[in-house]
Amino acid sequence: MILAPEPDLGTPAVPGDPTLSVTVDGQPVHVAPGTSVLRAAGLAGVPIPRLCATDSLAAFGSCRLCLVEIDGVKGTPASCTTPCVDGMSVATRTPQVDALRRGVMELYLSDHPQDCPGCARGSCEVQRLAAEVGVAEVRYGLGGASHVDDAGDQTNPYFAYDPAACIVCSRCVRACGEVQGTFALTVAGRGFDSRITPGGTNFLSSECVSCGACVQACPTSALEEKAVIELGMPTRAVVTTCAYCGVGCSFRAEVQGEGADTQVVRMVPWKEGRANEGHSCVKGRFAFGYAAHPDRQRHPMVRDRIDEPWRRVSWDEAIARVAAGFRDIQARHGVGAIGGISSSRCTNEDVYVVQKMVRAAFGNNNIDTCARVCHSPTGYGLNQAFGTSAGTQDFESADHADVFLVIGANPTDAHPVFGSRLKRRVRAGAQLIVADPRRIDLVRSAHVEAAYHLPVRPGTNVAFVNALAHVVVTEGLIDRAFLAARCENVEPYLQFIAGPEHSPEATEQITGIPASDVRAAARLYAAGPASAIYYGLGVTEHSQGSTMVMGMANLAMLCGMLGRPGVGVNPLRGQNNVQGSCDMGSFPHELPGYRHVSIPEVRHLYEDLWGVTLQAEPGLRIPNMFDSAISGSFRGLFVQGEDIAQSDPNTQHVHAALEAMELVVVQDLFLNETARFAHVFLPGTTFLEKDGTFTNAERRLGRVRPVFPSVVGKDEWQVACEIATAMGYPMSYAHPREIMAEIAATTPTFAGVSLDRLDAQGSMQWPVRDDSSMGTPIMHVDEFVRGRGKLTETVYVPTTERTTRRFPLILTTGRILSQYNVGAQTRRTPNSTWHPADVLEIHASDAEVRGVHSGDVVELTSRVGSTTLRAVISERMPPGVVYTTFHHPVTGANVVTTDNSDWATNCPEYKVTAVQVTVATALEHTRGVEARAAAVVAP
Amino acid sequence: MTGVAPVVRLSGDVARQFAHLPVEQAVEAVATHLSRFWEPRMLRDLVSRVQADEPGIDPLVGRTVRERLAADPGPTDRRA
Repeated sequence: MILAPEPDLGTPAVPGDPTLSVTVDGQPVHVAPGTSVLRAAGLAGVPIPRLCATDSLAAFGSCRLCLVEIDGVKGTPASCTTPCVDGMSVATRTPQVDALRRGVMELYLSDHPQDCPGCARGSCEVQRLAAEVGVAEVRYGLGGASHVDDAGDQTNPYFAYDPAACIVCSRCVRACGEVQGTFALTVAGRGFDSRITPGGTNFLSSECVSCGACVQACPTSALEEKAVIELGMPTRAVVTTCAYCGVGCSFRAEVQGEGADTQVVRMVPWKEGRANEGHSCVKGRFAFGYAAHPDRQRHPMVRDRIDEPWRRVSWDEAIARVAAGFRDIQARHGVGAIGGISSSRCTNEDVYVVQKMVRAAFGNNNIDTCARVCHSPTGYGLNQAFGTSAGTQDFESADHADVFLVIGANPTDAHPVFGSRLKRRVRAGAQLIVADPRRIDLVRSAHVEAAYHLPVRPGTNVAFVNALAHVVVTEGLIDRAFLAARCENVEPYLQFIAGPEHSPEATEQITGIPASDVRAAARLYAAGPASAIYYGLGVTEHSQGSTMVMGMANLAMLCGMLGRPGVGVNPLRGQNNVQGSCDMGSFPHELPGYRHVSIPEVRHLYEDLWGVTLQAEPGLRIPNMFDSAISGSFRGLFVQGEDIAQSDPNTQHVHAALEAMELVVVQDLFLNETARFAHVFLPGTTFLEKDGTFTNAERRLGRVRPVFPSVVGKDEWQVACEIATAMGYPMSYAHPREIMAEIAATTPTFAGVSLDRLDAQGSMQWPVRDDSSMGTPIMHVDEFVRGRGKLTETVYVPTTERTTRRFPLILTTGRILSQYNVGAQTRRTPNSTWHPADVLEIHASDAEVRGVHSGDVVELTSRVGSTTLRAVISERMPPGVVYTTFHHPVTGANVVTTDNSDWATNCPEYKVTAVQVTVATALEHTRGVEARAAAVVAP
Repeated sequence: MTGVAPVVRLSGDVARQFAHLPVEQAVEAVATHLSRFWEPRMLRDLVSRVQADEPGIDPLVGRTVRERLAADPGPTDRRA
């Protein structure tokens, strides 16, 4: 697409039917009550000049450019702050209005640099607007105090602030508050001295989260991407989907050049994107530079042994090596001796083809995906309760919630754009309950405060959710009509949960949460009237992760909080395509669409289409593959876009498993930790090169469009096809469109999906059962997918990971805003400015008794291993619990995490590891941390 | 956990979730879960360890294996 600014109607849309008839410069238009005159004019095709108004922000009425005349109204009101009235007649160009605009514009020009580089570049609207309103001269001169001697602020790695270009319209200040919800910016000074400031410090040191909303809102070049300043304005744009978290934001990749010479200048959140509605976070907005990082691998490589250097080879040689190696292993050790892991960072089409390669060409079901280590309990638990392995709502549903129950999720860090939506709703009056051992930002931040923070002790979630349900049941707060009409196993469950062992008073000693708080939170949730549960890996990554998911489903069913806007049970998915990779049949027991491999008619569907006999038994899960490798029955592994050597628990165990294999094939962007154990390396493609779809946490299929051609010469689905073909199972597609057509033809929930429809009609949420459907924003409206929702007796079974005198603390792990997962992408961007190394957060009392001070190097030891990192004393932590991230391989947080896993899915219990923390007095420890810090990859 | 075979540990994790049920129901639940989600070599490994009376095996797992899985690892169709 040729670069053109996105339409901006000046003020936000107002919900409602267009019942008002208005005329603007003779053009009739119908709008909903509450719509501004400015927006109505835009809708009528009569744009009105303005500087302080944009349709992502509430009207402000300060720039005085959008003045109009209205029949029967005195004066010249600002159109942005004037609501339409039925029958209103508006004139946007009259001699009086034109004169006023010219006068106002003269004032702006008197304090704007004549040689404004943004105006020259086309990124500043001031001089363009001056010409538009007909300013010929500036009567006041051009010598205003335009801050030309103010150095501005260059501290943020991605954008710069130039006060000389600033017109103090406050769009940035309002965007920071209204859109992002951080409230980091303000206007300091008065008159000509006015200046935008991030709280009296510089941008880098401030509370700014670098979401880019201010830059996007700025009508001048006062806040501008450094890439635009350096490279100039982009010349074309490609709308695509972000490859970071499960929010799945839509972006315009704005670029210069064509084909292989394409240079991405900036990523701008797309206003039409349903998941993000024009907002972004620091990762999606700015951290795309890894695609062109020097570490990026562009050629296949092979080696006979993992202690040998890599040798660059042709694609043909690499694929032949993979095929021959896998077939040789199968000939000697059986069909089940090899397997594959698909990536939640790849497209649905990539993933579908990889699982097909495993099932049809490898001839087994040893296919798993990195969802195993994050949201596999979501798949199990929600399928058991509701009949489908997905969240119940769309993101927009949050705008209708009266109460949020956020459990084990940290949206402002891990799902920032959804976090901003949630905070916006809380600022509008919704109540918030946060259940998390850490005092995350949502508990208390600018204009947001949780009604209850329930610091649940790691490992005790099920006792906690049972206590909530106990209160609801025993205090008569259940929705009896909903239960009677829509649920099963009601009476046995009610009898179970009413037992005194589930009371908040009984569970207080287990969970650490005061009973009175649990009771109050349960009453608040039950009262609704629309209460929504949002949860993350703090739920799933436990030995009872699946049980907890069912426990939350129980709670929602008890209170009738399903099947309508503002309610539901909603997983916040970790990676961009976790939902999609699961949908596409990446679990070893399920074919695409969550259908068990043992179901004959489903298996026969694929057998007829693929021309092979499929195994009717489940395959190995990732941890089972590791165990089987160590015991000798699993010898070859294809790993697509997952760094299992860093991300999976008990690193020593994983490394031993990888070392035991005869052939490890890694397909990735970089030589990651897993590649250290690989015999064949196949270069992968970034999202900027991919063509297909991602599915986000709200089941929304978003188009992923190539911004430039694959820099490695092949697409990833193509590589899987060629491996399968070389193994004797011919597999080929001409385009991802054909892959999605096969998915749609074989998977009822995707029957109406095609790339052509997505291109023509926009994103859609599965189930999309036919070509006339745009999908299903809210599930289980009239009945559950499984018929009746199933209440399950969720017995609390404590984890076997126990604290002792030797390991008295509990380690829990998580994610930080600026980094993503194992950091392979974000560590290769300036995002490391904010988080150059993993640190250990520890409560002051735990630190004091160990003689630990902030900044000390400490040794973190569990039953399976130890690592060293720096400690930070943090008020976020409760006593007895420490926290770190796993973004940096140099720290290796998973050296200490254990083999414990969710009983149903084997999702690792990352959130509960008994540890000890000691000051690392030995010099080699300190030197080790220093040396490893120095080895951090340059962005 | 050192020294415990993975299938012994993992089957014990499953069994603990159903230990509150009457034993016949518990056996049914464990058998259903293992046959729905476990790869055949893991089931065979577990069966051989139970038949060898290996220490550390959860009694409910042992009973499930002997009564339900030793001869027939599971029903053909294991949809939810």
